[in-house]
Amino acid sequence: MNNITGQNTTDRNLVDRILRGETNAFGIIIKNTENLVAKIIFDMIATEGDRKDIAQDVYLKAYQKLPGFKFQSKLSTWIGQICYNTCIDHLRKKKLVLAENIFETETDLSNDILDLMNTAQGNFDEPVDTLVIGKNISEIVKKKIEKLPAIYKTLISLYHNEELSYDEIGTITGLPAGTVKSYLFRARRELKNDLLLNYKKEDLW
Amino acid sequence: MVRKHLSDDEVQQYAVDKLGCEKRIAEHIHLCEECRSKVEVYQLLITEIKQQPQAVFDFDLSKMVLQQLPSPKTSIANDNALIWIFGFMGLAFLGGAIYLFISYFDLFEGIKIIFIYLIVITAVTVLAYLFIDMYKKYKHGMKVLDLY
Repeated sequence: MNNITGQNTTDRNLVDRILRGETNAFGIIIKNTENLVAKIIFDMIATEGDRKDIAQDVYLKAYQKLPGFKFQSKLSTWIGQICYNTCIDHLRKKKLVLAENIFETETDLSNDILDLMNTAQGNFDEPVDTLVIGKNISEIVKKKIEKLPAIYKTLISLYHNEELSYDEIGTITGLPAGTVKSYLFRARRELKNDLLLNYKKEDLW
Repeated sequence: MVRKHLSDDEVQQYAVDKLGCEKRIAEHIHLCEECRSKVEVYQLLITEIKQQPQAVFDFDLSKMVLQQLPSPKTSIANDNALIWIFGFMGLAFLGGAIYLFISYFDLFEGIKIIFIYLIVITAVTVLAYLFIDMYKKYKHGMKVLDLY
């Protein structure tokens, strides 16, 4: 509770300074929220050039809307929301799919894992299992996460990397907290199934 | 103890938030090796997710954005000070002009002093109102031009 109050005071202080004309204070907000914004943009936007434009666009929008910020959430959550909506607008303009069926990617992943295993076998004489399991679980998880639909990828990042609550993620994405939770369960289940698709449980240790 | 194995959601719930989990789930996992091994797979997965490289921009976002922001606007306190300074200067100028007019041209000779005050006060009020209105319009115009 104290953290929330403290955060709110800092947010108010920064917003007041910016509204008084101290634009440099906006730089502090950018530094404080840049990681969150990067995470959302990287998860949702595949093209590097677009990421740069969108990142700038997010903060220019936030600056313009700042006088209307009511402190009903943390400033970082509010900026995350602007970022998410900007990404959605971009995807809509480009007619890209936000959340196709999560299970459609399963076959692709199996092939990726097989590729990895073949590569490992071609390069070394060690037993494939040991090599792949020892070195590539991380790589496989990374590949699978990259193949998740944008929305699932974003939720996984916000929850596990940014450690936001279901409510905060709900505020950012506009989804009910229950839906966020349910999507997260599905995404994790799919990632787990992919791990077990190729490895026995005991091989993972 | 729950005899049936836990659902996948319950296993995940435990793997994600062991402390916030229902007691019956924790008890089951403590006793059931199968469910415990499922939890371990999820915990491994979550560890891997957390260890994924962080997304970082390879450009100075702060610098790029700040360059595009409109220049800092004058603070309200400074605006008020400006109004007072201009007002005071206007009054001084007006008073001086009236003094010179009366002294050199005896324009108001025969008119009671109270009427002179009345004319001066009316003139000053109207001028002040026009000035403030003009200043507000100017500020509004600047805001529109500045997109702020």
